[in-house]
Amino acid sequence: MKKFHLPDITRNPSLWGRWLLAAGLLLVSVQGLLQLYEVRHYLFPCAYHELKLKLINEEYSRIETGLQSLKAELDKLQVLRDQQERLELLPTSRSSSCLASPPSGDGAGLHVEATWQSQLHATKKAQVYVAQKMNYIRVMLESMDRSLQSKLAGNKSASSTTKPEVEKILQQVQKDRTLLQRYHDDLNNLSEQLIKLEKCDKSS
Amino acid sequence: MTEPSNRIYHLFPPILIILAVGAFLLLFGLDNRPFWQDEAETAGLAKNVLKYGVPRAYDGVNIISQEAGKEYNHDFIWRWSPWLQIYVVAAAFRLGGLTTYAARFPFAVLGLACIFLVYRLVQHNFGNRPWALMAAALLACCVPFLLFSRQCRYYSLGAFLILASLYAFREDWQTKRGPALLLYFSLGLLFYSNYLLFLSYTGAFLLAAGLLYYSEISLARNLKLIIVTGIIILPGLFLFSIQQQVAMISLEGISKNLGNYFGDFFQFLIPLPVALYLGWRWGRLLWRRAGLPLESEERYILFLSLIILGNILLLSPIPQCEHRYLVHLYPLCAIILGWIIIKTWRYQKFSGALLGLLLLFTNWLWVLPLDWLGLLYRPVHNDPHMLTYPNLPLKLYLSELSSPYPDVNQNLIRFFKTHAHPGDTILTTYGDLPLQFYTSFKVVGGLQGHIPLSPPPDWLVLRWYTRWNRHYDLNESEKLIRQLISDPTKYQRVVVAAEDEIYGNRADPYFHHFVPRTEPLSPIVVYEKISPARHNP
Repeated sequence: MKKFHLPDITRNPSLWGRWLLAAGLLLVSVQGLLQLYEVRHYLFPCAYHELKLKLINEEYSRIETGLQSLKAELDKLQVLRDQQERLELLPTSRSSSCLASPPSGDGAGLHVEATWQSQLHATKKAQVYVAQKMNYIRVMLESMDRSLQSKLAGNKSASSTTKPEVEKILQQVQKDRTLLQRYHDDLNNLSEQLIKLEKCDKSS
Repeated sequence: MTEPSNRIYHLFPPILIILAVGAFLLLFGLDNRPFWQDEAETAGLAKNVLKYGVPRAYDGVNIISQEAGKEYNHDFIWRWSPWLQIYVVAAAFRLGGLTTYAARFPFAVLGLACIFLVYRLVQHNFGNRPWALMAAALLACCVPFLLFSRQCRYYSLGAFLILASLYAFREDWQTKRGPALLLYFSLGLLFYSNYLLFLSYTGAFLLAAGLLYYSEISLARNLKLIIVTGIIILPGLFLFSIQQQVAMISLEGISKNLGNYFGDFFQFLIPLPVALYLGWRWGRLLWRRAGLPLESEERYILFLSLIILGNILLLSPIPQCEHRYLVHLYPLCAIILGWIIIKTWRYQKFSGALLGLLLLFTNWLWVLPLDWLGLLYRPVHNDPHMLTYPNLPLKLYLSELSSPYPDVNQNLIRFFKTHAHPGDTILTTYGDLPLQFYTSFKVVGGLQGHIPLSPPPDWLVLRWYTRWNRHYDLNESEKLIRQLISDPTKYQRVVVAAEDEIYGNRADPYFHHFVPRTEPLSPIVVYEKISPARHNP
């Protein structure tokens, strides 16, 4: 019987490179095949929804960070508003709730005004960042909710392993929707503060 | 006597087979889906060129605008972007009629020309047929490139002009007039395709050429190149509102844009492992002070790589960071990857074959390494049948070609053609431009900015994806529609049995759907004005 000799890698290091390259490409090929949606869905029917929920959770951490950034920008805006008030010389007969812009030609006033505009832009950008993400998540969760409900309703003869998984995912979706509503309320509160600050600036 | 294999080779040259496949992929079903917003902008302006001779944003009924009116002057002449693509479409309309197929045809043909030029560039300059064929095959199978080439936009035009400039550069442009003229005009016309392409590519190209081919370039010819190209682009500097757009350049977002561009680059153009290998290979040469590669093929690969790197660096200060600004780099990447495959085949046939299959028919080598490193960018709204997931891109692409896709713009056009009456006005938050092109209604809203409304519109389209303007204020159309529907006695809600996608037939891999979503997100919602005249028979 003919003996099969494996190449002696220790004596031929360049073989390491060839083996590693082939192994790496094979790894990518196998992983790619397993991660194709059709294959994954066949092997793990709930994997897609679990992945979506994982992505949504990642978005939630970005939304939380975004809300914190928005609050920080609003605080800076408030500080600038207070600085403008200090620069302003108001006659006593005027209402002091919304103050006029610093008079033109006043260097410090112009600087504060320019900084105000730049800070307002940054604050609105932070607000839009969070609002846009929440808009996506809202639509996605509604869609997942509909799809899972119809899966449960229409699939009464589903296997005993699939139905509990679907119910578990549905529960998570509903929890996520509740959390989203909380973020939505936080964003609304912060947006109202921004509108108030903007109105003060426009009326001055 | 000729060997049978040689006879077959001469009868059916592989490049012809590749071009035939490319032609099918580029030209078949070119009008399966209607224009999306940006395409409709070009098509609408081209339609007006046929009427007025120049791209006019207003045709007496509708206004074409996506920048709140900044794109045109007081006489509505378009100043925002160069006109070459608009006139190409106008010529196509003149010859083929006002159809989707006619508008996209010239750009699809230019995409096919890019596949041929990639082959020719390599074969003619290096005599390496396997490399040339592999590069052409890679580009022909490159689904993002195919998608962009099938758009009624400058993308394949820019790629073609860049390849033409590279071709001219490798010819003896220093002494021969033909290649010199080709170089001047390809760069000059690139400006009239898209300024950003011109600026980012030309700067990178000149720097890379100076670094690697300094011994072949004379100062006199270089100066001539700069002067002649400058003369060609000079009228455009006065005609177009470049200074308005230059004012938008921001240094703040450079690091973020660089991250986004490199992310896109490794996710769709050159796989990260390949880029790391090239970086290691050339870094090792420099470290050992062995100098830059002298062998002409590898020197050329380094040249293309430096162009790509310089291109991305020059794009980074531009605030609008979009994948479409990298499309002209796909042919260069095909050349680089073709070379890598041939070298790998020579190193180890099994790995070469496997690498070739992975790069031609899958996106796994792009997506998976980034996923493993936690660097993959996959928007949360993406579906598993998109290019941000491990997939067989050609299979998805062919699925779209073979089955009609329920395009959002198609559904809106169909809805209004069926339900709206002549003379009706439609106010929409987005997708106004496709409606303007394909219907005879007055369509307002979108990103036009100020909307004069008298009388109130007959139809409202509130898309689920909310849009803000560049100042991060809600768009006028969004505010107005929300205001109008707040009174339930004025408009009634109509749900169209079709999905409301964000864009439609946008080619960008983060937004392009080949097949309907696994789970539709949101239906199209339209509001119809309640009035006795409309509802009484």
